[in-house]
Amino acid sequence: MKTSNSFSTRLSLYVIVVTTVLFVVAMYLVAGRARVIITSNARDNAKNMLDAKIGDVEKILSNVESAVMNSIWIVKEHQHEPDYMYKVTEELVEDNLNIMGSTVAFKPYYFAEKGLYYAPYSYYNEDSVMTSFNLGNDKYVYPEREWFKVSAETKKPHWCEPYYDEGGGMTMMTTFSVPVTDSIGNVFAIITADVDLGNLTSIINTDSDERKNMVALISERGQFVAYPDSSFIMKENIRTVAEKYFIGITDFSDKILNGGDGMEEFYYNGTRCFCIYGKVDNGWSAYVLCSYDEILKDLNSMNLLFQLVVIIGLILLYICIRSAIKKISLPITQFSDYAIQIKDGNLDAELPRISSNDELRTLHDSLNDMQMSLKQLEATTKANQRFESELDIARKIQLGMVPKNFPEFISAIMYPAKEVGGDFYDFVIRDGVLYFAVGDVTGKGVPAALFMSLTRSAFRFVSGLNLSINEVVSRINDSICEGNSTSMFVTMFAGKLDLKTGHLDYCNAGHNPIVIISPDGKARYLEEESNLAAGLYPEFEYKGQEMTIERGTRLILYTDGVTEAETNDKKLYGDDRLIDFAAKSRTVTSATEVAEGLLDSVKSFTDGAEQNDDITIMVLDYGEEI
Amino acid sequence: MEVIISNEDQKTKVILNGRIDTTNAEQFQKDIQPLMEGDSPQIEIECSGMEYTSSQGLRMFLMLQKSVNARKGQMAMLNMRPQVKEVFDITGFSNIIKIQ
Repeated sequence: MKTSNSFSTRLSLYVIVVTTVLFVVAMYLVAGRARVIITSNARDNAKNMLDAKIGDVEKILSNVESAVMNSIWIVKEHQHEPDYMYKVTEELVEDNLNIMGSTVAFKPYYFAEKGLYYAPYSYYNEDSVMTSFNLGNDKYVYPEREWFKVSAETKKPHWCEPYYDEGGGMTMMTTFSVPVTDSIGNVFAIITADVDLGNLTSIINTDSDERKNMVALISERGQFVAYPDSSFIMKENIRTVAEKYFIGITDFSDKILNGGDGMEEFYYNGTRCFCIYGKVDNGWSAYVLCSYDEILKDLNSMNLLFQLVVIIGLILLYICIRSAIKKISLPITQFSDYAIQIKDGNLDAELPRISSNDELRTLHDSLNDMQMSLKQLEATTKANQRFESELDIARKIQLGMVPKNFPEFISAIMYPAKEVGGDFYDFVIRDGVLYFAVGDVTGKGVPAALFMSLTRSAFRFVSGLNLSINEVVSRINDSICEGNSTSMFVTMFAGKLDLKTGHLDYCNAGHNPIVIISPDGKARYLEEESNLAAGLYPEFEYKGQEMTIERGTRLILYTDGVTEAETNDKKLYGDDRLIDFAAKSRTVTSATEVAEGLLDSVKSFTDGAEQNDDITIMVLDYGEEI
Repeated sequence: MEVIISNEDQKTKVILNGRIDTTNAEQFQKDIQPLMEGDSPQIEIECSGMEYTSSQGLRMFLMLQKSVNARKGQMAMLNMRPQVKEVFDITGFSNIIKIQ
C-alpha cells in the first residue's frame, strides 16, 4: 500500500507542481499587464481630472476678471461722482455669483469731501441683504494692502495672495484688483472683486476621492488655496510641505511654482505616488497626488482573491487527482502484492480481477500466462530433479561395478553418456587364464544399470566355474532371462584367453565384432558367428569359436558408443575409422594409451556434439612377457 | 521418426520412416502401442524408410514380436535397408523376427 501512496502522491504532486507553475506564470503576466494598464489609466484620469478642475477654476476666475474689467469704463465715466460708486460695487456683487464682495478704492484724498480714504464696498451680509459701506477708515488703511498696492504700482490687474479678510468679507478670500487710470495714465482708483476661497475649494474637492487622489490649488507664492485638509489652507506652504513630506524629490516646489505642466514621482506617507501638476491662468498652480497603492488596491485585492481561489482549487485538484490515481492504480497495488506472493513461492496466488479492457487487462493476461508457465516450470523442475537424482544413482551403480585396476597389458575406459546407459566391462584372471567381457545393456537409467550389474555379477560367478566360453554365455543368458519381464537384453562379447598358449575361446552374443591387430600391424574385425543377444530366450544354445593368437597380438573390444558416435550433422564414426585407428595404433606400446587415444579420436570426430550413448573401450595386449 | 499404421484385409500395415534413437525411443513405444492389441494380428512392417535403430528400438521390436507370438499372430519386417539389417543380424534378432 505504501508503494501506491507514494506513486499516487508523486504523480499528483507532479501535476500540481506543473499546474501551479502555469498559474503563477499566468498570474504574473496578467497582473503585470493589468498593473501597467491600470497605472496608465489612472495617470490619464488624474490628468483629465486636474485639467477639468483647472478649467472650472479658470472659468470662475475669468468670469470675475471680465466682470471687473467691464466696470472700468463705468468708474471712469463717473469718476467725479463718489456716491455713484456704490451702484458699481452693488451691481458687481449682485450680477456675479462668484463675487462675494467688491470695492472701488480711491487714492487718498481723491474726493476732498470724502476725506482721506474713500472705498465704497458692497457685499451680502449673513441675512443675504446687500450691504454697502465705506471700507476706508483709520483702522483699515487699504493703500497698504496688497490688492491696492500691487495694482497701483504695476498698473496691471492682479490676483492677490489668499488672505483672511477682517475688513469686509470676514472670511478666507482672494481678491482680484484692476487699476483705473485717468486720461494721462495715472492710477486714481482700484476696482476689486473678492472671491470666496470656499467656492474654489469646493470645485477642487468635488468628485475628488481623497483616498485615491488629493487635489491641491496653490497660490503664486506657494500657499495652499484649496486642499482636502482645510487646516492646510492659508497655513501651509508647498515649499515646507514638499520638503517635509515628499520623499525622493528635491525641487518639486520650484517645478510646480515656476514650471508649466508635468508629472513627478516620489514617496508620500510611505507609499509611492505620482503627482501631476499644471498652471492656472492667474499664476496659481494645481496638482493631483495619487498613491500607487491606492490605485492598485483593487488589483491587489483581486490578485489576493485570485490567489486564494487558485490555492483552494489546487488543493481540491490535488485531492481529486490523488484519489483518482489511487483508484486507477489500485490494481497495480494488487498486482504488486500478487508479484510479492509469487516471489515468495506461492504459485497459487490469486490475480486481481480486472473488469476494464485496457493495458491492465493485458498485464493481467500476461501475468496469468506467466503463472501457468511458472507452475509448469515448477513441475518440470521437480521432475527433472527426480530424474537427475535417478541418473546419479544409475551412474554410481554403473561406475561402481567395473574394475578400476588393471594389469599392464589390459586397459579399459568407460565414458558414460549424460543419460547413463548400461555398458560394462570386466575381466578375471584365474590359473593363467583370462576371462574378459564387454557388454551393452539396452535402455537407459536405473533399470539398465541394474540389469548391467546383474549381468556382470553373473559373469563373475560363471567365469569361476571353469566352463567353455559358450557355456559361460549360456549360463549368463539363463541367469538374466529369469524374471526379465521388460524384454531388456544385453549384447556382449566374452572371451577366454590362455595366457601361456595364446589359445582364445570367444563368443559373441549380438555384440559388435571386436578388432584384432596381428603382430605385423594388420587390423581387422574378428570373424564371429552371430549369436542372439543375452536375456532374450532362456536356454538358448550359444555357439563359441576358438583360435590361437600370436604374442604381439592386440584386441580392441568396444561398444556401439564408439562406432555410432555422431557429429551434429548425424555422421557416424563408423567401422572404417575404427579399423584405421587400430592399424595406426600398432606403434603405441601402452594399452592405456591406445584406449585413451581411441576415446580422443572419437571425441575429436564428434567435435562437441552431444554424446548419446556410453562409450566403452577395452584394449588387450597379448605381449611377450606375459 | 514417423509411424503410419493402416488396416486392410485383416492385415495391419505399418510404415516406418526415419531413425529410432535415444531421443525418440519412448515416442516410438507409444506410436506402436495400437499394435499390441487385438487377436491373431497379421502385421507387416515396411522398413524401407527406416534409417537407423538403436538397441532400444530393437527392444521395442522384440517386445512387439513377443506380444504377437502370445496372441498367436504373425509379424514380418519388409525391405529392410542393409545397414539396419546388419544390426538385426549382429544381435541375433534376425533369428527371432521374420525379416523379408
